[in-house]
Amino acid sequence: MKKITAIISLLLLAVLFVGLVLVNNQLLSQVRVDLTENQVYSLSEGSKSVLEDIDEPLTLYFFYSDSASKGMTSLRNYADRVKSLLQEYEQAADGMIKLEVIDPEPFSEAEDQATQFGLTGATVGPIGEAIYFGLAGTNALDDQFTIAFFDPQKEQFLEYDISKLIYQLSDPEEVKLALVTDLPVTGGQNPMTGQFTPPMVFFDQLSQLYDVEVVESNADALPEHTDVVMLAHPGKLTEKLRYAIDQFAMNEGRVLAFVDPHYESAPMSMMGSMGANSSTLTLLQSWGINADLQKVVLDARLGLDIRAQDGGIVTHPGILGLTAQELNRQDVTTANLESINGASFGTLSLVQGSQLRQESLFTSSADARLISAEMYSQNMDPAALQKELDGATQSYVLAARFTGRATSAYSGPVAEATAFSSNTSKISVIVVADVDMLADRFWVQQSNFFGETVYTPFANNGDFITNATENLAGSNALISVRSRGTFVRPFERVQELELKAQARYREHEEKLQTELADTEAQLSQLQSHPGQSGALVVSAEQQAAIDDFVAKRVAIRKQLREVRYQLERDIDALGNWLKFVNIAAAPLLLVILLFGLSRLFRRKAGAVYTGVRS
Amino acid sequence: MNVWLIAKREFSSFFSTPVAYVFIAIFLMLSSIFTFFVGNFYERGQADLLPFFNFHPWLYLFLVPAIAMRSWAEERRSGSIELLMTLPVSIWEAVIGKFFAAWAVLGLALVLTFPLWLTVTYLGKPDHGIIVAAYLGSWLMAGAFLAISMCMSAMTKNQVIAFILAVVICFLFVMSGTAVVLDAFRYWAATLTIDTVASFSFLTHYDAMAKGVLALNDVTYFLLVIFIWLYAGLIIVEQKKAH
Repeated sequence: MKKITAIISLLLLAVLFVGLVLVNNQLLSQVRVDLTENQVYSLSEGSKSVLEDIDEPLTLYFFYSDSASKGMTSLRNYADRVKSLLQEYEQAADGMIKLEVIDPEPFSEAEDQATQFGLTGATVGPIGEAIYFGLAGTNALDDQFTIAFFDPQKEQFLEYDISKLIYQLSDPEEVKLALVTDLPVTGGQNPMTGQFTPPMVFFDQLSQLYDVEVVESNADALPEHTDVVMLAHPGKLTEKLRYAIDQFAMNEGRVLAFVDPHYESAPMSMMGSMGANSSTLTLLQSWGINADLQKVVLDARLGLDIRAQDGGIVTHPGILGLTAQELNRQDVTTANLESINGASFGTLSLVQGSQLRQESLFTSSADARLISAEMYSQNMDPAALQKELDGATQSYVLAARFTGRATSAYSGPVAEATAFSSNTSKISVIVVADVDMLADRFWVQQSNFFGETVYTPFANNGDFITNATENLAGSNALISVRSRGTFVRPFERVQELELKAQARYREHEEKLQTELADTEAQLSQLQSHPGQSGALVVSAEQQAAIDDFVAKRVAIRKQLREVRYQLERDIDALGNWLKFVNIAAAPLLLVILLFGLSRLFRRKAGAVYTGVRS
Repeated sequence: MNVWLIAKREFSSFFSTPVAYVFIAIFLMLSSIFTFFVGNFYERGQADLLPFFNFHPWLYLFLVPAIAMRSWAEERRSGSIELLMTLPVSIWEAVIGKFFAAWAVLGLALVLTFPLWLTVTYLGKPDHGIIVAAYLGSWLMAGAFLAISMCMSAMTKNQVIAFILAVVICFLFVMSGTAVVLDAFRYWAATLTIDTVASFSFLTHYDAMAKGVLALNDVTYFLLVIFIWLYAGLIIVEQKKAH
């Protein structure tokens, strides 16, 4: 009887177990603690609000060649991380996102699908198997956006990239960019030469990506449904346009401004007779941004070489080539850029009492100083500017992102205008204190390829303009998604050893290589001049010398091999030592220690034992 | 209180025989050997303990049944169970006490792997949060293995049979998320059934924790397994007592 009760109890217990596991799976998976250092498995607030704005269900296809990437540890680790993050999105989206994980094996239908989506396959292995590692997304309207390949180099922007894709899917309308400028961006006739010039390359690029409308400074309003306003050295704005831009900033808040103490790429300025061609944009000042357009930055380290009037090459301290070091590595707009060229940069700072937050995007080197823009514009000789560099010991902010709270330049609505916003808490402005960087000659090379004009960029100016526009075009939530820490954690100790060993090896190798070359030269000399008498017979001494050199050569070669072997030795030695400690020494030591401790406590334990029994 | 006393008695009895020492020594050595030689810890050059934690389910699969097989089987074979039953302790106190004692031994073994943690900290900058989460996950999983093994030990007087039964059942639990087990269901069962079977897998729940994310459902899953199998063990001990 008892046995039957027991069996029934066990059966009931089994049913209870299955039931509880089911409930557990359904209900408790939402609560989680992310213990990782940079919260790599959690979504930031920005991404969460991007997810909240999804109105129609989206499908994400995560393509990852799981089977083809066997043994590629770091890529697999990264893929794991991407997958977890995508699952996090799926979970946080409350059913609005459906995630499909696909392993596109070679020659499978899934692989064709991956290619159709436009994903990039990286070829590996001897037979050239393609590894896919990308994301494609579709929405209810069949719009498609993709991340062609998750580049491990761009890991810190992984969340931004995925959130951007989701944002694009949930709001697939084309971005409308109002470009407020009087520059000849669309091309036209050069007033000096009468020649027809093509559109500026940056404008061409933007037009391919967005719906760009040029607004001249004498216009009265911004186009409807503008998403981003880009100001590029506009002339004096009409009062209505100025008001419209101010109100746009107070409501939508996304402005990209290029201002300059001296726009020297204008045809008239190039003549050098006009004085400083500086931008006037008083709006920035009212919003809390101080763009100093009276002075120009001269940099002792970043000056680019230009051709002087006498034909020689001279370094111009006002024409700067910013390198990766001067570009913010943490901001999504500049993190992957290598260089930015520009001329006569101004400087940026916050107006006193401004409630904005400033994050610099471009900075000068620490060896810079300011001179007056007027003086700079009069001075056509770089050598004279070089002399001004004395006492150049400061670093300046040349471009920055401003976010936060700003107040309107107006105290009330202008005339017939009705709606008026006096301030905003979510303004997002990127200001670059240079307009020359937009000019073609600073970043693209024009060449002719079978009758077609081809532009080859030699600096990342165009990428920056696109990045900044794209970043500002996203929702505020998306803009707030910033870079995260990286996932790769190399053995720094081993890398250090490697570097040290390599340095030592190179030094040693160089010495031995020269010795070897010497020996070989002497040897060949001896062999080609058998004897002074001209006889073909080699004297005994000569033979001995030759033998000597041959032996020496063998010895040097052996030494070289030895050095090469040594390179690995230190690293292997450390590895072996660690293996020994962890596998043998530490376990034995710890167990012996444990044994000792337990003997110490044995008596006490015995007392407990008898205590229970009694 | 009785639970505490029994746990203490059991714990010290582990250390009065060579069982605990042998277990800990083997666990430490094997885990290091797997980490370095099979997991290529040093060659892969990443400052994390993934190769170490990856092998824990497989180590536990054999080592935990080995340490648990004697817990009830031995008492029944030697007859000391009669003595235990006459003491003023309830059976559930005995079950839980024995479990906690063995779980503490497993915890101690885990703690003693700290040289590896030091090693990885020496070599690079590991994410300590992930390591802490993985240790917690590993210990919870060890508890699940232990509860199953103790239940099997209660079923028979023969330690070898207890060991084999425990290994088989633990193996099923480890593998239930993989094709080996899922293929048996794939062609006839509904998705929900397959998902549920897959969610029985120790590996799935453990992997999630070893990555650094402690999800409530992963933690409760292991606690559930521990509770259910201890309860089953209790029923079996109770039933066998009648004989």
